[in-house]
Amino acid sequence: MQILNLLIMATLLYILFWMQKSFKSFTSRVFTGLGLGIVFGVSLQLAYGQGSNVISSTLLWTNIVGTGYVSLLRMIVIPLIMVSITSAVINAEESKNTSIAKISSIIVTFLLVTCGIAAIIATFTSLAFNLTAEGLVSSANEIARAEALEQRASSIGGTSDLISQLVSIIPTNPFKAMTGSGNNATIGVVIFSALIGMATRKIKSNNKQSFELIQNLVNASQDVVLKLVQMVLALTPFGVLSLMTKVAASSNWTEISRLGNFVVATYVALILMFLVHLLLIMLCGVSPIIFLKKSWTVLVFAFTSRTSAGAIPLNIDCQVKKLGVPNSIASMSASVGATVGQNGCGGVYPAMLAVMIATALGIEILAPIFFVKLIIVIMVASLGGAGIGGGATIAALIVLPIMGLPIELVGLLIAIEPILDQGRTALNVSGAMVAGVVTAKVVGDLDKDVYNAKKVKVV
Amino acid sequence: MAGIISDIFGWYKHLEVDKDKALELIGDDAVILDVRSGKQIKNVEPIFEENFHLEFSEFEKKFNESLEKNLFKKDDLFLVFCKSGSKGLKAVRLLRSIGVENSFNVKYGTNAWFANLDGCGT
Repeated sequence: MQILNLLIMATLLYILFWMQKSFKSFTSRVFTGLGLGIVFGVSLQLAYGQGSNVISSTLLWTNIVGTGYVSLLRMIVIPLIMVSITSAVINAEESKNTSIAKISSIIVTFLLVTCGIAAIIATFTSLAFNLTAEGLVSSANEIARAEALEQRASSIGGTSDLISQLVSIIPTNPFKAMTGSGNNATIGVVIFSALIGMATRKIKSNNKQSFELIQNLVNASQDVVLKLVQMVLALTPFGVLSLMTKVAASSNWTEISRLGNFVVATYVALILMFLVHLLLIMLCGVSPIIFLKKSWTVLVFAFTSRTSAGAIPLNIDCQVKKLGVPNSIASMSASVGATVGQNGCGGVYPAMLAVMIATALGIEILAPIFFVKLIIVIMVASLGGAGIGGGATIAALIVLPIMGLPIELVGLLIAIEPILDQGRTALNVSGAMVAGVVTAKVVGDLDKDVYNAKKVKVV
Repeated sequence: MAGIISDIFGWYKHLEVDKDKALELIGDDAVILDVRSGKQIKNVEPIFEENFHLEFSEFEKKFNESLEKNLFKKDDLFLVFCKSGSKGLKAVRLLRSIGVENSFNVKYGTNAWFANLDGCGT
């Protein structure tokens, strides 16, 4: 049976390959991958039943494509961030008022504010859905998870540690950050690269020769890295097919329907927040429909792969080529937005958990002292969480103890974690893209011709 | 999508030309027939100024009309293109069936014409 499944998978991959060979558009290929993945995954589950051994052994093989693709993306993230940010800083024109400091402060402010809005929306959605932590039973699996989380939380600590986490965003060892260890890799590399760029600019007047040498070196490496990014991104349809097959085949629908109320409430909050994103795009004076059409492939990738960091290359590519955001802003917003002020993981999720637990404990949610504190803590935690490597669970583990709430519930939701994480990741990435567009608009660098163009110019 | 099977077996190989060969045929004064819909044409930059727009939905009728008006002759060399190459192929098969032997389809249509050839298009 497994051989048959793998033959089907091979056929599906060939269909995508043929579509590429016959020059079908990238978007239609990504969507074919998504659709085929859903159909194949669901039919696997219907044919063999939930959690059967055949499915898991089939997925073992089909995952080669998906995991390989995500690994390739992760491989290019650090070099991409390094060269794009360094070259953006070095090549920035003196006359323009778009210093990297200004750009990054707009981006971070925007992300934190939208994160706060997301938290507010999530709070009201949970209240509307009457979510409560009462009556959730824990099985052995979940109790074990809760214990592990307790330990993790005690190592993260409370308010005083939050401040030291903010400082720890600065990489003490940039090379360690580049290896991706220490969890704060992305943001550390962003800071290091921006500083290298600034230092290079400062030697321009005294040491022109060295400046030009570094400038050419950086620009040349950027050309190579961008080509590498394109090569990897061309594999997106195959990756999406494999990732979606895994999701559709391994989702545990009984568990999901048991906690259905929470899943539905989460998605309502995520969709409402996404509408806020589109509204913000509209306020920039550009069409939200076009934004939706052009960003769709990136969101699909984020949704299927559940990796905000892995979406950075696609995100930058989309912003620069399709949305007319300058490279400096795009690379900054994509890489910062993947860790700081995540709308989904840092905003919606902790707020919903806090409300659920607080309701069960009989705390008045809308009392200003609780509500305002909650929103502020969530915003600060979404910034601080970047220092210890984001993720929704971490965000919740930082927020809940500061609010004086128990954290066991985080463990209870382990069964539906994947399906929640998909939506959250898509919202994170969408937030980062909107941050790019809004920042470009604010500093007056948004290229509307590119934004409105129907066809992507071939380079 | 239907093209995947015929591509594997190469059923219509003799009816289709790639971009290089198409340029060669144009050098030999081929008559270019554009069978795309008006909307499709608007969305993509034009390929050549001198072409006849015979929309696919009424291709045969318009082709015969143009013959009557002496815009081109039946024994001319014809090059047909559309967006993806599938309508163009049908048009060429129709032309061959009414005895126009010197007709070819541009394989994968304008999609191939404007694609960047290193296969990294996103």
